[in-house]
Formats: sequence, structure tokens, C-alpha cells
Amino acid sequence: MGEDSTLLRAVRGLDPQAGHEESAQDSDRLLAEIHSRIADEAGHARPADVIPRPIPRRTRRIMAGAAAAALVAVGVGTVVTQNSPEAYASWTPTPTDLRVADVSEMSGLCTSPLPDPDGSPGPELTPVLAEARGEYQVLVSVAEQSTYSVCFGFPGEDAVREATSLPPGETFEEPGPRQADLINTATWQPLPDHGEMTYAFGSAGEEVTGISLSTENGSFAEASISDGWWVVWFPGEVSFAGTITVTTADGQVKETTISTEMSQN
Amino acid sequence: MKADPEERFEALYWAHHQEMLAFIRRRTYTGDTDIGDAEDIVAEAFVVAWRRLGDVPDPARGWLFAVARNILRNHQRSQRRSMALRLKLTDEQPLATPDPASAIAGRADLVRAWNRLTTNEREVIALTAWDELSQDEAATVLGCTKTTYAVRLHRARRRMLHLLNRTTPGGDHG
Repeated sequence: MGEDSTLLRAVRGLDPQAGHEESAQDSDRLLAEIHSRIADEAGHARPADVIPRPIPRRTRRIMAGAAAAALVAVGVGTVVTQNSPEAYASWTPTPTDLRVADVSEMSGLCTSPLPDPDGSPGPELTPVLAEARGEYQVLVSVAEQSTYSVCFGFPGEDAVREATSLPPGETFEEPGPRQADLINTATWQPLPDHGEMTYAFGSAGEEVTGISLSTENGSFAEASISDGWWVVWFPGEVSFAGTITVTTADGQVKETTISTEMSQN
Repeated sequence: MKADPEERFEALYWAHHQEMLAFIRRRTYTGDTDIGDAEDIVAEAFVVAWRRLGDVPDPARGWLFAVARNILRNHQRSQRRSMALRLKLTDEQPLATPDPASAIAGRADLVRAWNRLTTNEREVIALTAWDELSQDEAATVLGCTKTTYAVRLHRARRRMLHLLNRTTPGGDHG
């Protein structure tokens, strides 16, 4: 964090507007111009086009098979529905590692290409991480360092997936060997009878051997880590405004605030 | 007691017009010329604020900046221009106080690294470092969640440190 703060101070020193201030005369003149435009109804901008829009909050539930073709990659965001954590009775804070081959029934859904915005097939996703918490299985797949999907499975139910793409031109960056990077968090309701779940997904350096997260309400869980990626989820809608603990191969442990800094230097 | 609309509007103007002008100029000044009219854009933003005064939240800063940025984007789209946020080495100004940039790299290296960031990365950092917006306000300006902004800022800072390592001889900043 210290180096990052130094960087921001250094960038602040490059500010081309530093020290510039309008004169009182210029400020009065601008206010008069605004009053004139209001009186003349002379504004050019249509308010509806330029006022900030609410942050998107939506649920995406994608079924296996034909319905999977309807999947739309979306920007990074938080997904919120009703809260009912009690449905995940067998959930465990410590995951059981699975091989990707162990969840082959989910692979077809998780690796099918996501349509590009123009409707053409996008790149195929590669499964990178599988885990189980109680009866619930998760399979994470990634494409072109900019899109991921989280598939969620439960015995006797069709698997479903949630997929997210970074904005155009952005890619997941490879963290340093002792760093973990949070890519996204989302709350969704994958299965109608099981309530919401909230997951966090990110990338991890090669020396990172353990990641655990605590939530604002005091819950705690260990992430699954594989091939440079990690995932963790909690029953219900939770906020990750807590801490992340990163353990590296030499046994060092560092706990940091999740929203600001996730590296272990 | 609730201020009447005129009082609230004037309070918003005097509280924010200076920083909104600076915010727009940072995104329109290329080092040679001002490619936009900051006064025109800020005036337009306050006309919108007046018309939608009931929608203006308290605190209003993030909302006002977002409106101004959207108006700027519309102007630039119509003129086929993009946001500036780039620096020229000739922009260097003699500093009366020690240059904070020297603590991490030479000013020229910083400018080069800054200009090699993507437009999105520069915007994410500038909202914090130059415009001094909180993470909530910056998220409002970009239309994303606070967590998403925090993650994007983290990544942008890390990439700039990486670029500094590559542009600074023998540099080791991260």
C-alpha cells in the first residue's frame, strides 16, 4: 500500500490543473451565463441522456443445453436478489478440491462459447478450477484473460452459470508471485429453491498457497486455488468489505483490507 | 430547514464549479490547445442540475461530475475526439516545493508511464489522484460499483508501477 500511495502522490504532482483557480470575476460571469441559459431554456443536453444511471443490478440464470445460447457476457457488476442463506445447509467454509474431470457433466455448459455483443460465437472457455462445498459444486472457466464463467451444480438439478466479461480492451492481469487479485464479486440465485449465493473470483500468483476471506457480517471461508485462479462463495448476499488473508509457500501470512490492497510484499 | 431551489442551486454552484472546471480541463487540454470549452460544458451541467434539481443527491459531487463527464463525452463524440488526460514533457513546471514524483521515479519517466496507460486506466487513476474523488464518487462517475472501481484502481496502479519498472533504468518498484 505504501508504494501505491507514493505512486498516487507522484501522479498528483503531474496534475496539469494544479494551482489553477478561477477568478471571482470569471466565476460570476459563468454563473450569469448559466442563469441566462436557464431563462432562455437554451441548454443543449437532454437531462435524461447525461444524468448518472443507477448501477445495474440484475440476476442472470443460464440453463444448460439450448438455453445456454442465450447467455450474454456483461460488464463487471454486482448481482443482487432476495436473501435466503438457510437453503445452503450443507455448505462448508472449507472447500473440497475436485478435478475438473470430476465435474464433466458441468463442463459442456461451462466451456460453451459466450456470444459476442454482435451475436457471433465468442471464444471457448477453458475450465480452470473445480471445488465442492457440501453438496454444491462450482466449476470456473476462463477465456482470453477477459471473460470468466462460474458454473454452479447441485445433485438432481441442471447446472447453471453466471458469466462476466471485462470492458473492451481490459484483461485480467497476472498478479505478482505473492499476490492475489480480486476480479469480481457477484450475488445471484443459481437455483430457484436454494436462495442466493455470493461469490468472489480472482487470480493468484504462483507462490500463493492459501486465500481466505471474511465478510462484513463476520463469516469466514477458504478459497479454492488452482492454476493461478481462486474462487470462494458464501450462502446468501454478503458484503466482502472485510479482509483477505493471503498465505504464501514460505508460510508467510498477510491480512489486508479487501477493497484496497491484496498483495503480500 | 430545507433551502429553496434557488438557494440550493447557487450553493451547489459555488461549492463545485471550480473543481468541475478543473475536471473538464484535465480532459480537454492537450498541452497545445484546449480541445473543448470547459466553461460551456460546466454551464451545461449546471443547467441540467437545475432542471433535475430534485434528482441531485446530497452529497452531489459524484453526480455533478458524472453529468459533466457525460456532456463532455457527447461533445467529443460529435467532434470525433477522445478524452485527453495525456501529458507532454514540456508541461513541466518549475516547482517551489520538492517534486513528490522524485520519490518514486523521475518526472519524465512518470509522464512516459502515464501516457502508456490506456485511456481507461488513466481515467481511473485521475479520478482519485487529480480530481480527488472518493471511491463512492468515482464509482458514480464511471457508473460502476464501488468494489469494481476499487479493483480497477488497484489494477491501474499496479500497471503503472510495472510500466515504471520498464521505463526506469534499473527500476524496481514493485
